[in-house]
Amino acid sequence: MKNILVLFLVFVTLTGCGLQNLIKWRSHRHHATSMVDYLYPDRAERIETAGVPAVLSVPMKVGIAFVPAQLSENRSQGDLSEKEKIALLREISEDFKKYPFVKSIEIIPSAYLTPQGSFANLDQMRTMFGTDVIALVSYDQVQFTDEGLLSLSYWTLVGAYVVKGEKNDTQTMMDSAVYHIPSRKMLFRAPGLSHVKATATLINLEEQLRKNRSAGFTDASKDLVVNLQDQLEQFKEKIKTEPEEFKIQRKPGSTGGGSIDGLTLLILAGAGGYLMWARRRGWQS
Amino acid sequence: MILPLRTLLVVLVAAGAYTMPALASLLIYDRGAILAGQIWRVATGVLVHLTLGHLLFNIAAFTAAGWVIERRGYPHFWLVGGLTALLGGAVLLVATPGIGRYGGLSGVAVGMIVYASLCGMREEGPWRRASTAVFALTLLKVAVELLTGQTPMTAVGTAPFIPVPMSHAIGGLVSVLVATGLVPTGREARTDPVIQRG
Repeated sequence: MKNILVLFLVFVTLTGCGLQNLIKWRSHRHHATSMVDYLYPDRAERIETAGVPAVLSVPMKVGIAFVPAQLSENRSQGDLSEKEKIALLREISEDFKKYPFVKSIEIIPSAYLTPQGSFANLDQMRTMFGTDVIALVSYDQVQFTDEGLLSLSYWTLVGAYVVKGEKNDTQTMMDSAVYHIPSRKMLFRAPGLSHVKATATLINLEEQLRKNRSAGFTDASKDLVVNLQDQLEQFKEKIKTEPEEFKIQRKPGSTGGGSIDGLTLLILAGAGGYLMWARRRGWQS
Repeated sequence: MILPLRTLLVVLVAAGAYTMPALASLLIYDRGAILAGQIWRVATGVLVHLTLGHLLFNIAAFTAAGWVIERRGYPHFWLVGGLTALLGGAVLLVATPGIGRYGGLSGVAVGMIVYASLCGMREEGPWRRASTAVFALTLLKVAVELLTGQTPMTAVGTAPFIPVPMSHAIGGLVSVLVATGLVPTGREARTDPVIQRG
């Protein structure tokens, strides 16, 4: 045991690696936008219009936008660019265009939303884009960079070229809340989570962090879509059970369809099966 | 083996309207066109379907019910189908100005199912039991649809139209009125095979 320890110390000294490399340290980058700060900057104020039902006119035009960053925050390297935001919003909205009650989805650029704009800002969006319902998306991403034992194992593989290995940990949470602007009611909300782990050398650390950041947002948005669809199904049920809170109104010009469902076919199949069984037992029709 | 020719004819026209957009645009319920004088659309809209799933599900139910009506020799095939289509379109026109276009045979199919089961309830043995069960379950389903405004287990949840379950209720109502004799049925009633068998 003593020999192994001596060998290890010699190895560390010869390769120029300080013992400090064995001690872990952690740095992190944090990028976030806040839904609460945008919608409710004055937290004491109650905004929801109590007692007023949310009248949803279908098929509806839905807006989707990223919540702007807080006033105090400066734009940093890790923030999402407008192009990235639009691409993510397009990806999220694509899965909701198929619903018959969605006429169209309007992607609203960040420039139209003012920090701490609250519902007064949403009212402006409603006037400009004609959307009664808006899906607001916020995010919170933290990237940790750990250095330590992993770096030792990494450069020993590289050999004489001494580089430090890094362990990157990117945690992303996207959150979407769907609001009915006239009634100030939140219809439903859903989160999307992602956890990306990767390793990199100091040389390509920045590049790897950028990749992880992008992968984090992509994965989180996919998770968000799944959760939103689930919440949407629950909201459909909620409309039925809480008619005093939510009302559906059909807009002129909608396309309607009379459609047989699986249950009807099941009833018919059941009856047919019973008659066949009865015939086999000797019943003559 | 009696071929259900009337049922097949309706299915053929519905399939033709689905594959030929020109025919579909001539038949579809279009509120604007109806108000402009193309009144046939009130009744012919049921023959138009908006997606393949929509067509297949409706045709499956309609064929099953239509086949039973023809095979068992029940009367009033055209009366039930025609009146359901006409009344369904008329109610849409008056009560739902929000619906600009409409298509789908489901109201007629539900009408045929209810009518076939009502006729079947006048028979004996397993046929009577099966018909009673179908009648009760269909009525229950239509009631749930009316109360909730939704079609449960719909296969066309993501289809580009809003389901209108009211047409199913109209189909059921027409069938009950015809089967109970509240609608004058003329010559066919006198040759009712169920009555004759009974």
